[in-house]
Amino acid sequence: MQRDWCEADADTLGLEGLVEALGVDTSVVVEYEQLGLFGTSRRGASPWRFSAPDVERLSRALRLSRDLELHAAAAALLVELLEERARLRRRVACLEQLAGRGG
Amino acid sequence: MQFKDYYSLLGVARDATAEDIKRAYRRLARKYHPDVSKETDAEERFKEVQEAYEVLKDPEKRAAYDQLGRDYRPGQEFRPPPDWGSGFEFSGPGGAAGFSDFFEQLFGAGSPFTRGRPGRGFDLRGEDHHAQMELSLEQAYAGGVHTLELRRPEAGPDGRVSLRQRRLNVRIPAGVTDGQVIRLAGQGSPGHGRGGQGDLYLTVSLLPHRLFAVDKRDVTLSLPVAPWEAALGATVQVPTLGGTVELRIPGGSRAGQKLRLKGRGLPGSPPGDQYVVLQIVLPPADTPRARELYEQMRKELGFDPRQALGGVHAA
Repeated sequence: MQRDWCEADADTLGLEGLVEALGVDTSVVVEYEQLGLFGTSRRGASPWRFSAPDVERLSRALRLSRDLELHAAAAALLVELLEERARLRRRVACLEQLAGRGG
Repeated sequence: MQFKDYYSLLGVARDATAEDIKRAYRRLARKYHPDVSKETDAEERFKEVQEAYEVLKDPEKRAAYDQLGRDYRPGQEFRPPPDWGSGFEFSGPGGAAGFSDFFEQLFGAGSPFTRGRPGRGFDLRGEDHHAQMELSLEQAYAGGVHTLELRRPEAGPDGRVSLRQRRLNVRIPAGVTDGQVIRLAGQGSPGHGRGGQGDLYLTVSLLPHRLFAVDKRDVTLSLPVAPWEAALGATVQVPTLGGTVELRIPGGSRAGQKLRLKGRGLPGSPPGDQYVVLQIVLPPADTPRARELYEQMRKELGFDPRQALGGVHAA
């Protein structure tokens, strides 16, 4: 029976899987890894496993690099900043809501 | 088919240098790129800018396009000449997905510009899509199948880029957190040739909730309590994501005190907790009797709320 919904992809990808998934060269992944795109505190046990957020970050960095004609370091920085900004906005919204009712 | 004026789309003169064109593109890309733009029609505008740049940045394509434009009069129905592309060197793969019919006819797959050299195929992986998925806290708590409306910029037959709607059913695991990324392989744009399908990345965005504030898997509820409930202790009913539960407020509780209901937050391993912050609310002094009781407390309790401030002197 065909499912009528999509299942979220729960697996992590290895380096090969990531290269295949995004259609890039291994050297590109290594470059972004060295730029700290996947987080500077990697799990010591499996540094070359990539979760959904990792893959998303790389996909976004590649797209920004291409569209805005940025070199890798700039694209990596931009991705980090956008993510941090989104996170902070959500946090502020949450805190404002809490403060609004507590007052 | 509509003729597309790529020079006016980039806002440059017909004799613009390569440097002018690059500068114009970068300025417009910064303005309209969906990831960084504040404009309302960012996606459509960006696609148009991208297409214009694709042609004007490539000397071969630009030269061919200029020749075309010379004979064109505005308002005319446009048709590519029969000897289109002859005399030009073969170049790389044609445009990315989603460009206009005008582009596809002149520079896309099947045009002289993408008749690849022998042994050189035309494979291009489809684009990845990034989208936000808004969920209520209840939906995040329960998980289940969720219908998503996605918009993707696509060029219509008249060449105008518009947003095409698409519906997708996604199964969300119970206990997704705000900011979590869900990857749906193969749900992005289709590729060309043997290029694979792009992926879809959904970032979960939790909508603000009437009662609960959320921090990862923990939720916080501000609970109004009467002064005697906090001072003397009480057992009260408290809403949680999974239903109402009883909470024992210890006597001697202070305003702002945080109580924890373990495991009552969003599910997971480990599940989050629910925090209850006590918010002391005063009975209104709106009847003579109420005022009497407040006066009695003032007289008999000898309570100084500002003791910790030390001596306070008027300026």
